[in-house]
Order: sequence, then C-alpha cells, then structure tokens
Amino acid sequence: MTATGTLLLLLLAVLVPAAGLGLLLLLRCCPREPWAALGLGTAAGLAALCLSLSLSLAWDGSFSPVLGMSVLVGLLPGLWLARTSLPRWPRPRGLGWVLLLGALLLAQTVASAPMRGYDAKAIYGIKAKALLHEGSVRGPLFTQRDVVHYHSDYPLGVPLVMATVGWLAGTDGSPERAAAATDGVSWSAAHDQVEAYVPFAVLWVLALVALVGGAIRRRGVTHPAALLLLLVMALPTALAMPFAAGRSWTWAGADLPLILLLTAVAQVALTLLRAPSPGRGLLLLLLCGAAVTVKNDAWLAFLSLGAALLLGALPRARLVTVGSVLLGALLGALLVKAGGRFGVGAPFDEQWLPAVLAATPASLALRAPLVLEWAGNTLSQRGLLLPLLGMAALAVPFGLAHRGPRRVLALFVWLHLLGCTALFLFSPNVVTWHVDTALPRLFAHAFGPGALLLADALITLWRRPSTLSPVPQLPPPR
Amino acid sequence: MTAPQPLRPQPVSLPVAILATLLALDLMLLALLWTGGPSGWSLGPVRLLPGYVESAVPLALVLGLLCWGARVGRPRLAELTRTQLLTRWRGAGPVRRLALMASVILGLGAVDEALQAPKAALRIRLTQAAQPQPSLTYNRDNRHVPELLAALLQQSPRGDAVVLVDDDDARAHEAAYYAYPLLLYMAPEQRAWSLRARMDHLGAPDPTLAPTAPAPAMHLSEAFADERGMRLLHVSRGDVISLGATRP
Repeated sequence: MTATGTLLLLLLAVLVPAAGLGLLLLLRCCPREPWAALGLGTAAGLAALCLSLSLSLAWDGSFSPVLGMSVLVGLLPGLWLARTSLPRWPRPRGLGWVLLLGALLLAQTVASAPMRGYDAKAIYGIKAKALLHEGSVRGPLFTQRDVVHYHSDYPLGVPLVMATVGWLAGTDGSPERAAAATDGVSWSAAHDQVEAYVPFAVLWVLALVALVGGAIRRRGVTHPAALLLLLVMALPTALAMPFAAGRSWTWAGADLPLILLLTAVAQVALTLLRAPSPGRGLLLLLLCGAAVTVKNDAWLAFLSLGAALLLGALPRARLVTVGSVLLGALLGALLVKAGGRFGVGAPFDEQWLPAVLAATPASLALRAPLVLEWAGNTLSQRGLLLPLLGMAALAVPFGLAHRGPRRVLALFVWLHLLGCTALFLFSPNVVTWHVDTALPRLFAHAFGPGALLLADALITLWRRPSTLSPVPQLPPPR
Repeated sequence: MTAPQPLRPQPVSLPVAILATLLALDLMLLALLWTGGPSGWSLGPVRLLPGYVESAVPLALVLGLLCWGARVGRPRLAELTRTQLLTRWRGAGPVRRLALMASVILGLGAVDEALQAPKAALRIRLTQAAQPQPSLTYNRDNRHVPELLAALLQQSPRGDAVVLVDDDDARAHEAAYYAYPLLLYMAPEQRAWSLRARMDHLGAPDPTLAPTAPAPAMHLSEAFADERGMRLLHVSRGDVISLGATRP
C-alpha cells in the first residue's frame, strides 16, 4: 500500500464515524454518552456506505465508490448544523489513556497480520477484486457460471466496501510490473489493493467495543468499577477474536460488520421501544437495510428480533419497532435483488429450499444428536463456549426476569441461538461439516446484542450492596 | 486575599508515559519504513524490515506493562480486591455468590480470548517478517496455490485456464483469488464434486445423505477445456503434473 493510500484510508476511518454521527444528529437520535455515540455513529456510517454503494449497484450494476464517498461527505454538515447536540467528549485521564493507547496499539498489531481465511479470499476478496477491476457486476466473474467462484448468492455489501477501500489504497505495483510477473508473489502484489480492508476492519471492532462500553458508562459505572468495566469490555473483543485469530474466519468477512450492525439494531430498537420517534424509526430502518446488504444471515436475526418484540414488548411500542425492522429488511432485500439481476447464480450454491422440503421426522431425529455433539465441539475449539455459557447462565435469565426492553433482548438472544441450532437440522450440506464451519458464526451474530444485556446483568450483579434497592432508573433516551 | 497558587505541571503516570513513548516510536519507525517499502530500510549493515518493528513494539509494550503491573499495579489490585470485591462477596447470598464467581470467570476468560488475536498476529509477524506478501502463504489446505499460480503466469500467451486440482481442497477457490484478473474455470461436474468432497474431511458422514461419489473422470475436464479453447492445468498434491496445450 502506498503512503498516499494509507493516508486516504486513515481519512476514511475518520469519515465513516463522522458521517454516521452527522446522520444521528440530523435524525435527532444521537446518544448523550460519547462512547455510545461513537459506536452507533460508526455503525450508522457503515450503513450509509453500504446502502449508497448498493444503490448504485441496484441502479445499473456499477460499482461507484464516488457515490459512497459523496454520501459520507454529504452527511458531514449534520455535525455542524446540530453541533450543540454533540456529546461532550471527556478528556481521557489515567486509566482512560491506558485503555485508549492500549487499544490503538492492539489494533495496530492485529491489523499488521496478513489477510487470511477462506471466506476472505474465495468469497469476498475475489468479488471485491472483480468490482474494482471491472467496475461493475457485468464482467465475467459475475456473469459466467463456470468461473471458479463461490457463493454467488451472497449480497455484495462487504465486497463493495472492500473494493472502496482498495480503490482508495491504490497499489505498489504498476501494470508493467504485473505484466512481467512470473510468480504468484509479485502477481499478487500488483493486485492486492483489497487486502487493505483487513486493517480497516479494525474500525468495526473498536465501534463494537465503544457500543458496549457506552452502554456500561450510561449505567453510571465510573472509576471504582473500572476493573469490571475492563473485563466486560473485553467481551465483545473476545467475541470478535475468532475472526482475527485465524480460526476459520477472518476480519475480512461479513460477520464482523454484521455483528456491529445487529448490535446497533438491538440498541436502537430498545431505545425506540422506550421512546418512539420518527428519527429513531428511520435509523432502525437504515441499519436493518444495511444488514441485509451485508449478509443473508441478517434475516435469521430479524426473525428472532421480530418474534422477541411480539412476545416481550408492550403492544403500544412494538408496532413502530417491528414496522421499522420489516421495512428496513425489505429495503435491503430490494437493493440486493435489483443488484443481483445482472449476474447469474451458480447451481453449486447451497440449495436450502429443496433440503427443507425433503426433511422428514426420521431424518431430523438422525441429525439432532450430531448437531448437538458438533456444536459443542466447534464452540469449544473456537473459544466461544465461555461467552455462550455466560450468556445462557447470567444474561438471559436476568433479562427474562425483567419486563420490557431487557426481556426483549433476552428473548432475541435465546430465540436466535435456538433457531440457528434448529436450522442445521435442515442443512443441505453434510451436517457435521456445516455445523463445524457455520454455527459459531451464526451464534456470534447474537453475541453483540447479548453483550449489551450481559453488561446490564453484570452491572446489576456487582452494584454495591447498599445501593441494591431501589433500582436506579436509566437516564431518559434521546 | 490569598496569593495565586503557582501552576504546577500535572504528574504523568508511568504507564501513560510508557505507552505514549511506544506509540510515538512505533509511528515514527513505521513512517520511516514507508519510505523503504516492503523491503525495509537500510541502516548501515542492518536491514530494518517493517515486520521487525511491528513485532518489537508490542513486545516492548507487554514487557513495560508487566513491569508496571509488578511495581505499581499489584498494590492497587490488592486494594481494589479488598474494597470492591470482598464488600460485595460478604454481602451476598449463596446464589448471588455463585453468579459473582461466574461473572469473574467469564470476565477473565473474555480477557484471555481477547488477547488471542494480538498473540496470533505477533507470532505471524515474528515468523513471517522477511516475506513481503505473507498472505499468499496462508492457504491452509490449498497447497497447490503457489504452483498453480506460477504455471498460470508462465504460460504463453498468458490467459485464463481450466483447472483440475487433486489436492486436500480441490476447489481452487483461493488460487482463483490470487490469479484474478486471470480467470480460472472448472468443468461443472468437477466443480460440483469438489464442493461436496471438501465436506468429508472431518470424517463424520451425514446419515441422511448419500456418500460422496468418486471423482469425475479427467476426460470431462479435458473436453471442457477443448470446448473453451483453453489450457487445462492439472495439479496434484501441490505439483503441476500436466499443462495441456491451448486448443484453437
């Protein structure tokens, strides 16, 4: 990556949260707590980028990074117009500096790792390269079904963002150098722009930590409970780690941005339940739409969220929330479908519908023990068993014991975990292989929202005995 | 009326000073290294590679924090344990104590897991520091990738090709990523079989699905390449064992 490219990427890393904050301010739904604002702002910026890039694709099949950049820059005036509503950023002191500098150094260390993982290259990377090189989805990769390429049924949100990052990053290799390359290393160096997305994806992890950290700080946790804060903040990072530590996945996949978007969806949906407003409804719609453009798995999360809202929310508030989720999902589906009309689907992609129709009680009974056995194996191997047990033993019972938003969040997490497990009974693939490779990712999609609930549960658990009752009220949402 | 107090500089704590110094050093060295590109920067007889810097700084950070933790952090941690943890523990019933213990285990486990990626990243940088494009070396089961790429790039005239891979992972997907903008094609039968065959590597068959069929015959791939006027690259166990001629 060139020095200019690095500088441009740093600017983009500032532009995405800044534009998102501008959007939040324009919609009058910016959280007062600075960390929460930064996390939600980054998610909103990501949503704006994904939706604008998908819009261009849906219109004429073209990849238009200029449109994406224009939308982000166009949201910046929101920062100025509503500058009085901006949260006050505290000056970091003591432990705050240690956390901030430590986070930067860790991010730099992680980001220095190369792009790894099958999905990053074979599913997202190659699509991003094609978008960048061909400028549209009308090229051979998307239109010729015999080209070696997998999951043509996936939405293109992540490849579009990767290609945008690659467009800004540029390359060290010239066309002459590429033409002269006779080995894979020099050929790859001339065409590796999209790999700059790996360090850029650190932004999604930091935003996830900020969202959960903001939820903790909003509950008034300050210095005396700093140790607890540190421990709980490690949780979302821990959930993201299998994506970075080379355990099948990588940061250059769709799961991290999807976890961020779903966490933001859960946060905004809960706020909307407490205090409905058109701005929050619109923000929820945009976040849901963007999540669908990132990965089809968003539908599973929306099904769980919809069911949780219907079962756990008060009737007065749930209509607008369910409506926003539904409209957002439809907007995303419309963009994905419109963009997909230019390409061809491969017959090698997973065929779910025939598999579901072919399932019988006997086949489900045969598969059930295998699913449970391999779920335990893979969750344990990928370091996700502990967060899952924490979620099941601490967060979900805590949430179910309370009425209102906490119960909705607990139901969402519970239904998502159960629903995803049951889904594998109908898998069109060899079920043990499928559970091993896909179940932890699907579970992790609920862990971001679950971390919000877990933080709530732990803060309540660790409150000083003298302040156990009455339960302090949350500050009114904005 | 009291005299105004003279302004005194705020004390800077040791960990902040260590971290700030390391971060500044890190950024300075990285900025210097950018001028040298991926091959590094010459310092007399010593060659400074980006990987060495990116590995050394976090290592120094960890050492610095450990020293600080031993000197300053331990008494503070003891104080925090006494004032915060024990107060809550003593005031809790059995169920609450169980929940408190579970939350501590969960927190410590989360910290441990959160450190996995930095540890893995550090290990990679230490072992791969001299390689300018290490991403190419992380192909897991795809041992064929470098060989296949080399064969593809050395053919004349350079162009797209049909591939047939007999490897641990026969899909050639990662090779397709690295080969792009050159395109790899695969005969539909071979491709469908390779996608199913990869699911058998765990050795746990699905009781509800038929076993994987034998690999399609090679002549199907040859006919497919003929039909498209492309070369057929046949790779087995990481070696290119045949390179068919281009058919007009």
